[in-house]
Amino acid sequence: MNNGRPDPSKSLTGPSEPVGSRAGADPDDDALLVSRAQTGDLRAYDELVIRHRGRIFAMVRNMIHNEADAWDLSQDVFVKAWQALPRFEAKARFSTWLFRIAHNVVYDWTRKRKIDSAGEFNDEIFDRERIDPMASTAPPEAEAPDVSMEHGELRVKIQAALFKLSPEHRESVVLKDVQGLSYKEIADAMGCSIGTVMSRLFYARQKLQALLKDEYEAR
Amino acid sequence: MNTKPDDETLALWLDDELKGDAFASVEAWAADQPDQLAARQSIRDWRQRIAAVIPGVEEPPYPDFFNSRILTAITDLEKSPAGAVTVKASWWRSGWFMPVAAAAGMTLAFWVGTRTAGSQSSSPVVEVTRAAPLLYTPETGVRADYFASRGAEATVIVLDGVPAISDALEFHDTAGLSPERDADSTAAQAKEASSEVAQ
Repeated sequence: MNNGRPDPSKSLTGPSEPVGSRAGADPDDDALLVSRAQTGDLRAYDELVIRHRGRIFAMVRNMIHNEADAWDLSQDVFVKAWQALPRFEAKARFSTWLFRIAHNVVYDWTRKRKIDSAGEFNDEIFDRERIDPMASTAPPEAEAPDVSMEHGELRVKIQAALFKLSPEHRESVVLKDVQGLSYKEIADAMGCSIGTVMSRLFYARQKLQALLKDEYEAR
Repeated sequence: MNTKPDDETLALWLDDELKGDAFASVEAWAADQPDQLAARQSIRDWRQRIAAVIPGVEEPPYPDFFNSRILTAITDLEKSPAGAVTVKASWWRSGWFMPVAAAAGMTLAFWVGTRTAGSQSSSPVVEVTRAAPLLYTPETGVRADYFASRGAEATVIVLDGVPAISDALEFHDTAGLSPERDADSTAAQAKEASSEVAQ
């Protein structure tokens, strides 16, 4: 595993060069950190985790809607990414590559939960009871209490609607409309063609529009 | 371009992914396509709505612990090569090994038991220093150091950076235990019981 790498435990205690800002995940800085991590620098990898854990955790949580499982699975993503890091060739952005690994981790976990994953999923297979009514509803920015409450209610409704979609449809919405990935990046992450992504997104949005019809009309 | 674009180009335009000449030509075609303009606006509205309520970035709970668990898992992985584990697993699972190992284990346990019965062990049962603990302090600025001494049979965890406990803090207020009163009441009950028996 990780052939040719130095012992990572040594990297943990050894000196490390300063790393870039944590606020943004600049692809250039990612490239520098990735190349250092590929030589076994665990501090550089730790910095990559800090940069990307927020997006990966949000994506996984939106896919499985369970905070504790999402916490564990997000860690799996980064451990698997470390194992696969020597094979990362920087053809895609590091974040897109992480989304690809997250996709695999979530689908493996879903399969282990004995949910039928053959072909297109049945949108009705996921029951409403799995939707957490106590899900965190606080948006990232500070808001007035009434706006916050309104957004909280809307979030619960949108999440409930998302969970009525098949995992493929839900993932395309999460990656496109929540994460802001391009069609090409989504196709890379989900391992399918751009046409398939377009088709899934089209039907997913149509279904969401139907599910949230009352919400649309009220606004 | 006044001809309808292909489906893929149209989908890219609807999602604001087209740039440059491709965008300009589809935009010119769409100028007299009110249904397409409405569809694009509908998608823009939806994206805005979902982005307002479902964050694309959400820090995991206990982020420091999140990272330290990853680093621990990676370090453990590096220490145990997968190949060796696979070989060991297949050998371990072979049909003849399990009963033989169980019998040998029981024999060994019996022999060790007969040899050590009644004698006091001079060494601790668990060698703490070998189990390298993961020290985690949830409070920023607090450093934890771990010391284990087999000779003294002591384990000490030193937390550096924890605010000093104020002299004004009254522990009996927080603990809420009054052992004397409990002892008195128990004694009183015992006394009552013994007097009842005497009667």
